[in-house]
Amino acid sequence: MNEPVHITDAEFDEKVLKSSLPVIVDFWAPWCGPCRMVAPILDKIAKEMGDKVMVAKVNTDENVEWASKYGVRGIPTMLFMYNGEVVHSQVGALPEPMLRDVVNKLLEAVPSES
Amino acid sequence: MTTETNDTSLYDVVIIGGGPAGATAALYTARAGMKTLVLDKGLTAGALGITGKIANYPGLTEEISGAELLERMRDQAKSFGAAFITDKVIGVILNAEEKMVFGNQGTYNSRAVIVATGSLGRGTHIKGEEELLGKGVSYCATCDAAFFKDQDVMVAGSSDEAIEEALYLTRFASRVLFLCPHEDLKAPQELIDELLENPKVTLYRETALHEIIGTEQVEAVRFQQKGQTEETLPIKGAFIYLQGGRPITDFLQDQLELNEGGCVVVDNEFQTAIPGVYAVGDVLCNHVKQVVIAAGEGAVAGMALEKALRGRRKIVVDWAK
Repeated sequence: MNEPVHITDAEFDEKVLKSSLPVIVDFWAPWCGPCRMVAPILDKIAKEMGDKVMVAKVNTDENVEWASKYGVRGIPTMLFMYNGEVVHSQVGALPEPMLRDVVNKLLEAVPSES
Repeated sequence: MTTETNDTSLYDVVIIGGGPAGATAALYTARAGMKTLVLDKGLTAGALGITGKIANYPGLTEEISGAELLERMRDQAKSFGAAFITDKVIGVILNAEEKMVFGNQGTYNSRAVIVATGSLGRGTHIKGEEELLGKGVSYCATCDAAFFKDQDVMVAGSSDEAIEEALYLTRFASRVLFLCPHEDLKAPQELIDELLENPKVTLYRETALHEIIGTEQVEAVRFQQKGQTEETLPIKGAFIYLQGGRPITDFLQDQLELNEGGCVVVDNEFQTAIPGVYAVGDVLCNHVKQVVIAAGEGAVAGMALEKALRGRRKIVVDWAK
């Protein structure tokens, strides 16, 4: 996968919680400026690191169930998940170098697949 | 709010901030034939817009309010072709030939950027604000209002930006507590009237915001109105648009050098360390906070930028030969 995957509420369990790769879940909406700022960075991360991490995008305009379960009250919110657990959450847009740092640190903490 | 956001074309210059520095820079760049866009949060978002009376602007002997003087400057810039869009800038990419400015309403591309955001930024946070960011604390109603459908929320501020955001929130929230730190709201009267007439809004004047309370999510707000005892009211969302006395540079995200006072560092033509990126007005230090100075700096930067961009254009033409 070298591009972000759009996930609906119905697909969340199967595609995100049961993913074998770590997942960055980006809760976003079309009207949100900071989300537009993050989107191209996540596109790049998906393209460059698609074998190590999945970028999942959840449009909160159409999918409220999981956003609400995770207590999302502001977008963008990015949840970094592994084995169905949230290991880190980032609220608000980050500049590209800082976002990449967060992603790299999380990947270091995840055991590589044997 | 203006919504001319579908224009994806490249501007020669995007000016962030429409106060006297930004509006004057726009006047000069637009008059020099450069495609100029000014992004601003509103007429009363800055220091001049909220100034009651201006008596020391050279040549203007009649009594005039800060907002009126500013409107004249903007109209003059518009008459030379400058475009103005109401938007709040949240991020930038400056270190590229084609610069990008991200707003809540749209993304704007340009060859040059002038930072003229002034110094009404906040230096400190309210108790609970940082901890509950994204858990009910927000700075963007357009982004997050939908999460507060049929719930009570609070807006703190006094500018037209705060009022616009509160009015937007009334479309979703059941009740909007509006905490204004001053006796009066600083905004055009029709906007104030719209706020006061909205049945969902309760206005508290001269009110200090003390704390946003909550553990996992925002649960309540603690505040005190002048002459009253402290109150705590349950809310789910806290939208904060308060002003302070610090240069507004957070949207730069460390891309420009700041000095110890938090001000942008520039050369004698107001250019920063990044070519094509300038900063003028109260966002600079060692600066007399007067309209005439801010306007003068805008003029210097506008002219310097025009010269620099035309120079680059010439080189491009030479290469093409």
